[in-house]
Amino acid sequence: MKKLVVGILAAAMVGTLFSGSVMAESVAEEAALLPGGGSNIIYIITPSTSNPFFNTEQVVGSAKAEELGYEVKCFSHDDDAAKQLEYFEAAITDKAAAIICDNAGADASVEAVQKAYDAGIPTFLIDREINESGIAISQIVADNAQGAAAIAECWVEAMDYGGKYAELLGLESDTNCWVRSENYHAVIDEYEDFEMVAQQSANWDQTEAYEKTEAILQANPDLNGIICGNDTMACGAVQACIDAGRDDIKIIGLDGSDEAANYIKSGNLVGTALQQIAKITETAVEQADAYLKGTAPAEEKQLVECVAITADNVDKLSAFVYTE
Amino acid sequence: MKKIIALFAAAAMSAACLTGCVKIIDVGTEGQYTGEVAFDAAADSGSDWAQIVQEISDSAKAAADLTADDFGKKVVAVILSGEVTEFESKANGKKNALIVKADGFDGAVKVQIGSIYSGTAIRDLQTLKVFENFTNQTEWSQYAKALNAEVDAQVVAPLALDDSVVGKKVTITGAAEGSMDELTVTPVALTVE
Repeated sequence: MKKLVVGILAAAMVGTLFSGSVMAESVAEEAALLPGGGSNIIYIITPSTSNPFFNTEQVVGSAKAEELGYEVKCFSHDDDAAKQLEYFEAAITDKAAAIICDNAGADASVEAVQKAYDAGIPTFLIDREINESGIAISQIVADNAQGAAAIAECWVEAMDYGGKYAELLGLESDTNCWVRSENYHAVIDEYEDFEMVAQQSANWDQTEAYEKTEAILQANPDLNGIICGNDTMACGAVQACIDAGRDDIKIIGLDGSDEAANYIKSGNLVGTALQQIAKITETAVEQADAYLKGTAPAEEKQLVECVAITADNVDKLSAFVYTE
Repeated sequence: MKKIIALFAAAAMSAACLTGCVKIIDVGTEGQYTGEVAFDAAADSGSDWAQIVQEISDSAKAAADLTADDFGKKVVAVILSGEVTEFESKANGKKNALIVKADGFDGAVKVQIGSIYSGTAIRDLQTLKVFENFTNQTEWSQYAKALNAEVDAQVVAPLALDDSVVGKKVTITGAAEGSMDELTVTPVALTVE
């Protein structure tokens, strides 16, 4: 019996001692590059391409990947995590070399990315981050905080440092909604002569933004400005202001869409902040190619600067590409 | 004897099982154990400030030597001297700037003197911290803002500048953005003669 007890204790001690080295080994394994599935196919999975922003991801990503010699398969998950998971599983079955993905939710996408990782397929995330580090090779996103602050500074100047304004928020469950709002206010709230008379969500939607703006204008005839969480809502707000005969209202958005650019040119929109999605997507494809050839990116989380677009530089913007 | 051994074994197992389970952590003190502390941009910028000033000063290029190539990078460290030609004041005196005719540089030079500062030039120029050191974009943005607050507290506010500075000679080291035609400088050092 004594022997048995001693044996158990000894085994436990040895186990404890070894657990450190096993951990060290798994860390070393994690540091090794994923091999890819074995084929020459790159999967590009994005939200619906009916939105030109996401369409740009597929168009630019495909062109870059084909230029680098890959076969490309594009899919839209329509912001449905279950559908996204199916496409990731298809990529695994297809022995994809890599996956480029604008994901369907920071938490909901972790499972899909983990599956690809476990299958040895590297995932390169664009536009949106996930709430997990170490399973995607890159997370390349636009610096929304910097972009919001930059265009807010242009707006504050256009408003002559004061006035009554309203804010149209995006989808309140979306991280970007608050990152943008907080950084608008980080700039605006420093000036005591601004008064926010309404703050409502229009859920990133143009029609909802139009209707909300209509109501806000009726309730606040002395309104001077509107800050919007994205260009889609900004365009809705602009249209409502035009229809109400209030083209004096100073409005900003964020995205850098061509529709917003047209309103900047016509003087109805003060500006927008361009999320350089074409540049982000190209970078992701280039990093996937370099990774498959043995070079991992220096950092997983990478920020790409937004460009404040106003009447001064709007001519340099087209299809989410800013040309110096 | 068997019973004694069994008793010892049971006691040892109980102790092993309970290890790590009975520590009671008071609310609000979790960070001492997890290492996770609330983000404080001002604390970060305060402790980094001296090093950042040193870094920018060491790498500063004379304005007279600037070329268009220097603006390939978004922000450039610059040192310049010149005469103040205008004290620009906007937003009820909260957004002020010195317009300077810099020696050896033909473009217009605007020096931000707060108390509200635009942009992230100081943060973007320094290399002490990178985005990965922060949890998210908002913290990274707050760090930029906190560094701008250091500019005001350490560099500008002590000088109590007003329009009497017009016509005087100033020497400025800072983070510059813009072009050869128009330069906006956020100062890390500013002296008035």
